[in-house]
Amino acid sequence: MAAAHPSRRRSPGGRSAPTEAHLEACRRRDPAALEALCAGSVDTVYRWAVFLGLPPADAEDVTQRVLMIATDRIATFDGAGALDAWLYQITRRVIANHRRSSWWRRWWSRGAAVEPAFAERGHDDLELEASVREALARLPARLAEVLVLTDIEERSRSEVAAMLGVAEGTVASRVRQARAAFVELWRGAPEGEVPRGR
Amino acid sequence: MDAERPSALDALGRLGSRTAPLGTRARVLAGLREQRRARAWPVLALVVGLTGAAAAATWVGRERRGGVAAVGREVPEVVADAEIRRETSEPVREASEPVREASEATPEAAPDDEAVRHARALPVTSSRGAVPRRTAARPAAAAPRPPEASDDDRGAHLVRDAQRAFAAGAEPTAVEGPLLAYLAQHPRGTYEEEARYYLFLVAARARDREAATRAAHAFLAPFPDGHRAQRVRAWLAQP
Repeated sequence: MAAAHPSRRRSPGGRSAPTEAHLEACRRRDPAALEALCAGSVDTVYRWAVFLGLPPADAEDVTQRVLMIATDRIATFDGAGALDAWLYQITRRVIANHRRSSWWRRWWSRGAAVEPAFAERGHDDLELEASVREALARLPARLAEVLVLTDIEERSRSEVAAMLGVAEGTVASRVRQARAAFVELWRGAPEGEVPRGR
Repeated sequence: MDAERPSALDALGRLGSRTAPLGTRARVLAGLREQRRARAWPVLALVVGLTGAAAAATWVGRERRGGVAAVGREVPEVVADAEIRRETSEPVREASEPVREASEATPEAAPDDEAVRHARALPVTSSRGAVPRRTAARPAAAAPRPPEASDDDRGAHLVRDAQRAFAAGAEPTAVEGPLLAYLAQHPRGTYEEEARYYLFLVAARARDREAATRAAHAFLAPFPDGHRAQRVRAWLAQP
């Protein structure tokens, strides 16, 4: 494994948690507070949707749906520090529902090239993004998501455990499996040796 | 490519800062605003509708209560209106007058000054604030008379009209008519006591001894207690 990349030391997902005052304003249905909550969560939720296997157009729809659900149910959210965990639970359910309803679309577009999903960058970055997304798409869902949360978003084991609703030991075990599988795929191992996802 | 390719974990680590394209971000936020706005209109319409319905119900309720309360104010025992109190106090004194006049018209019947003074001295206003509409306790043998409900409210205007006519010194028939109509429609109504008492008063004022005596007994039978009964008995006691 290579040395830790300098970007690994940034905050998880690259954003700060909302304050309790902000959340209280959201619970009071303050329009400005809700707008700020959505604006601060769009990138995170969109990133989850893309790395969990959705094409950009579907990821955009899922992101809007997740944030609409979140603003509707913000009154049920009771902890400022667990906002990402709460949002991730919503995202997982929305993605699962989306997959069930759009299986025909996935079948129709199988084998199509991965469409760039993120803000415009250089050519190498687009290649990198496409390669990572292709590899993640070939992992089982439970391994892909732990890899996204741990190695892409650099969240702590306890935080990932809270987001997935599993024990920290389970997270550690899955991380080991996921990394091993991803490394094999990244190195271009034959398809038959890597577990197929989804 | 493989020599230039980053390692697996490096590749993952480089993607953590990726953000949604500006167009995606704008569309998502605009869509959320539109959905919130679209949801607000039905809620606003519902709130306006419910508020209007509540206001209408409150207005109707006030109108109905105002009609019943007006009758309550004019009933002597619970009256709060000083003007109505003065008017209804006159019949008591006037009821005493027939007693006095009767005693004067029949010299052989010695006027019972004490009874007259007693009848006149009976406080008109002292018990009004304290005595409930249905005065005192009934005889043990008499069953309680539950007042009628909503129909009774509609008949209350008859008693109110009769009281106003009596206070204005109208002809006896103008007073008796509404009272008899009320008693016919609501024989055990809430205002039965008032109706029977005013039938007695109007007959006494008209110096119709026979009619007043009948009305007095008709009043005392169901309402034997209270200050009104005392006045009626005092009048009956006069020769």
